[in-house]
Amino acid sequence: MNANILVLVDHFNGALREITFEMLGVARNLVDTAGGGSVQALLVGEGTAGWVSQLGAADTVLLLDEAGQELLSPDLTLTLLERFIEQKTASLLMLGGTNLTFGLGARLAMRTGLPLVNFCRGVQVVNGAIVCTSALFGGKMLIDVCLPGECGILNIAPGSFSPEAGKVGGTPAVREIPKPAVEEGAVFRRLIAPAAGDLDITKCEVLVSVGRGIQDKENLPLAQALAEALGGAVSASRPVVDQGWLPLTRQVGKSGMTVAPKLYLALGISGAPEHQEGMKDSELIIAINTDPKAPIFDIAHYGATVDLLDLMEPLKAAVEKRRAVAK
Amino acid sequence: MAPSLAEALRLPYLGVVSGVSVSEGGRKVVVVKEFSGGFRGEYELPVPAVLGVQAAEKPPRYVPVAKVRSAARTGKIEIAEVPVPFKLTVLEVGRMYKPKLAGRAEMLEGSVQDIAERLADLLVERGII
Repeated sequence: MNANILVLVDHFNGALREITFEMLGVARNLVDTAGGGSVQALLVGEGTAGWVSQLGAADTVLLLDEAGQELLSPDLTLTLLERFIEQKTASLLMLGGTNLTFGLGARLAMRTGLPLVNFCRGVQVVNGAIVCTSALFGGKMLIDVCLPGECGILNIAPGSFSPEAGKVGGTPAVREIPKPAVEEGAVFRRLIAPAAGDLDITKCEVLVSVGRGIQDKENLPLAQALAEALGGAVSASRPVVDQGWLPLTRQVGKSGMTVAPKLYLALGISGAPEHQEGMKDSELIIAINTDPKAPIFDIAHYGATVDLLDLMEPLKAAVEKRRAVAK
Repeated sequence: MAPSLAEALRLPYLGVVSGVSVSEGGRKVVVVKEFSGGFRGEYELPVPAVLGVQAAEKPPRYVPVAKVRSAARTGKIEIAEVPVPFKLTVLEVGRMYKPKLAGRAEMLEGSVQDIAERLADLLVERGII
């Protein structure tokens, strides 16, 4: 069995993203297990040629490093990928399940007829066939599917594989590719940076993070007071930011910040996969949620099913008492 | 669904959209797409186009069941056969199952006061306070 795999290198704002190494690692392992095939990495973007030496897990890097080209232009990337599939450059395509490439896999599947596996969390060779595990219903169920003819498009869910396996230095062969003619639909105009002036929650050692369970904007000062007692700051899950109660700079998750503080105190946060993506690497996760089945308890170290509105003031008092004793 | 629909209709597409405004007298739209880290991207698309909307400023309200039933009684559904406009490759489904949990939080029991005291002790033990 041959596994000819093309990995779309995922990068943003001048840096390679961890999902790229997750994909390269799993692709390399798949080729080695299958006993044949190759790993190619597609690298698109101005000034990206310098990253080739970090992509040693690939056999070949297909490089489009022309001025003016951006991975942010989805139609350019789509055209390139479609062409590589038509030319049989690869039969198995791996995309990072990030906001950047969202929709590429589905569009490509429609254009090429290849099967698409979304939210892919596992890939293995079973009895000579490639079997993928996909997460359904926000990760509540898993499904194993077999790729017919070892062909398909995989949207790899970030955090599903170890990135270390893909962090191999080296000198893969580089094949420069010309810029294709693209009838662009969505034209990228500019990148909008987060509003300056607010706190950078990625640098905080303690975060008190509030979710839908906070119920009302009027309750936020309680969380703020608790955060101050703990020497930290307040962050939030998406619903709180969508309501306009806190700025986007405080949002943790897929569309927000990725944080890894010493303490992540999740108050009234259910723990959707998109939120977990932004905080799962925190050193100590404590979750407070009245729903004992909330997914946040699956990754938390400690939890309690009490109402956060009842807990915040007693916890603040208990923390202040211990600080006073320590003095 | 949205990207597949866009391809079936052969229309431009952009997903994870959190803002739209009309430009060039309605011939185009300027769209804001969310990235990670609080970054957003501004794009321009000709219309018609398909947009995958990430979040609404005012979340939609669900239609009351009574109104759905009422519409189901009075509405008329016409069924028409249409050819599939694209080729489909079917995945072979092996099995569907619940994920095994890698771990589970140690749950603290007792009154709110008990839990607050236990958590504070825990934070001292961990050197956080």
